[in-house]
Amino acid sequence: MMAPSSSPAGGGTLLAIEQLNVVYGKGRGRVHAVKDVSLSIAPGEIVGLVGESGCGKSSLGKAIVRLVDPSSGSLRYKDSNVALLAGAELKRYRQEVQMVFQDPYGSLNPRMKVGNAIIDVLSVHRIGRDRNERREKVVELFESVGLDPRWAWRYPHEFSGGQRQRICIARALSLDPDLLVADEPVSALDVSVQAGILKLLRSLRETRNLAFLFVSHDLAVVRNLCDRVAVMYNGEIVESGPVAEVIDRPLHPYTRKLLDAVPSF
Amino acid sequence: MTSNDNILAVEDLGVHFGSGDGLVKAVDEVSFTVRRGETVALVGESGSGKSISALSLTKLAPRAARYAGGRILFEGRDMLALSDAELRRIRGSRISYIFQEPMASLNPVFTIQWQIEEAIRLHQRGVDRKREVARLLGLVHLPERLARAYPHEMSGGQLQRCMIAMALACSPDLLVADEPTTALDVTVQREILNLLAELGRNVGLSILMITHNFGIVADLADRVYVMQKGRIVEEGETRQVLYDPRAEYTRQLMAAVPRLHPRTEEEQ
Repeated sequence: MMAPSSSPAGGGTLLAIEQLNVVYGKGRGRVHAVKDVSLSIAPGEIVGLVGESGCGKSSLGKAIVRLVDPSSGSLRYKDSNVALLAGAELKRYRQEVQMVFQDPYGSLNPRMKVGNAIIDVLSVHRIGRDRNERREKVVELFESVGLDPRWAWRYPHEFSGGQRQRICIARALSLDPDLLVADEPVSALDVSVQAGILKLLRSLRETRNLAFLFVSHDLAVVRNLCDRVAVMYNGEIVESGPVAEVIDRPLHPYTRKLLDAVPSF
Repeated sequence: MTSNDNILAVEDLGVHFGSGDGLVKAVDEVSFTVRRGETVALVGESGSGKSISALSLTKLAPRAARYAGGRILFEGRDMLALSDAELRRIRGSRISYIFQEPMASLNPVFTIQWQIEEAIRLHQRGVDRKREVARLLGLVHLPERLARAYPHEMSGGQLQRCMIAMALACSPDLLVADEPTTALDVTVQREILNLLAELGRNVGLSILMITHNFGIVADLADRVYVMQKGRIVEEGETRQVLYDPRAEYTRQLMAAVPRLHPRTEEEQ
C-alpha cells in the first residue's frame, strides 16, 4: 500500500524522493532496508518519519545526506539530482542539508572544546574571513539555540544531554541549512528537556524557514511537532498524510498497532 | 491499612554526596512505601534522585554516597543496619533489579542459561537448574531453546525478558525496575509492560517502577511518588495524581509531556 505524498499547496518542493531503494550487502546477507520510498518535503515544512528500530527510517535519513548511496530511485533537491552531485556542488548540498543524531555525546569530540568543533565546520566550508569572525559566529549560534555563549569554550562532558543536543543543533545551523535531517534528536532526553528542544525546533522553522525530516519512534512527539507524517514498516512507507489525520484516523493496521502501543493517559 | 501490609517502608531516607560547599543531597528525607502485590512508581527527571533511591534500598548506591539518616524497612528489618553478608542474601534473592540497558547488564561471553542460573547458584541449593531456567523463560514468554543463546544473538526486547527472568529466578518479593523500557521501541515496550502487569497479577510480585514516562505510570502503577531535586513533592493514587495533581512541579512535568491526541485530552 503505497501513498506517495504530495507537498502542501503553494509551498513548492525542497526535496523530492521517488521510488528510492537502499540495499546493503549481497547474496544471503542482502538487506533491502528501504523499498520504493517516495516522500517530499517543502521549504519550512516539518515531516515526521516514524517506525520501529530496523524499519529503515535511519537508512532513508542517511541516504538523504548521502552517507549511504541508494541502489535505485531518485533524490531531487531544488531541481538537481542529488546522486549526480560532485565537487563544489556536493559541498554546497552538504551545507544546505544537515543532520542531527540521537546521541549528542557520541556526535561531539570529547577532547575538543565545543566552540572549536563548530569553528572546524566553518573553516572547512570557508565561512568567515578569520578565526575572530568565526568566534563571533559561534557566539551568535550559541545564542540562537538558547545557550550562554560563554560556555562555548568548554568540553562536551561539562554539558547535560539537552545542552549537548543544542550544541549539535547549533553546529548543524552554522552552515545556514535549508533542511535538517534529525534522527531521533529528543529520544534520549527527559520530558521537560525534550519540550525545550521541540520548542527550539519550532522557532527555527519560524525564524529561518528551516525544513525538517524528523525521524522518531515517538508518535506523541511527532503529533506535536510535525505537519505531515510518514509511517515506515519493513522498509516501506505504509501510510502518510497530515499528522492529525494519520494519528486520529489511522488507516493502516501497522499505524494502529503503533498507536495502541503508546502508553498514554 | 496496617503497616504489616508494607513489604517496603522507606522513612526519611537521606543519601548525600560530597561535603561542605560541594554537599549534594541526592536523596533528601524521602519516605515511601510499597505494599504486598502493589506496583508503585517513582517519577522524576534525570538527577531527581529516583535511581539513587532505588539503588539505596539494598545499599547499592555508588561508593561515594553517604547514607545520611532514615530507615529502609524491608519486611520490618532495617536494610541500613544489616551486615554485608546479610545484604548479599537479600540482593537478587528477595529484592531484585532490572535496568534500562539489558545489553549492558548481561555478560556477552556467557549463555542465557548460565546467566539466569547464576542467581540460583548463589541463593538456592538442590534445585534442578536446567528445569528452573526453562520455567523462568516460560514465565517471560521466551522459547526454551534461547537458554543456549548468547546475548548478541537476541533482540533488545528478548534481552529485557531475559533480565526479568533473571530477576525472578529466586522468586523475589520486590522487583525494582529502573526505566526498564526506555531503550525499547513502543511496540516492544508495550509487550514488556504487559508482561510486568501480568507478573504483578499472577505471581503477586510487588514492583517499584522508576520512570520519567507518565504514560507508563498510568498504565502500570497503583500509586505514584513524584520526585524533584531529591525530595518527594507529591504522592497519591495514580488516577488522582495524573488527573488532579496538587504540586506545581507535577503540573509542569505533565504539561511537558507531548500528547497523542491534544484536543480530546483538554475536553476531558
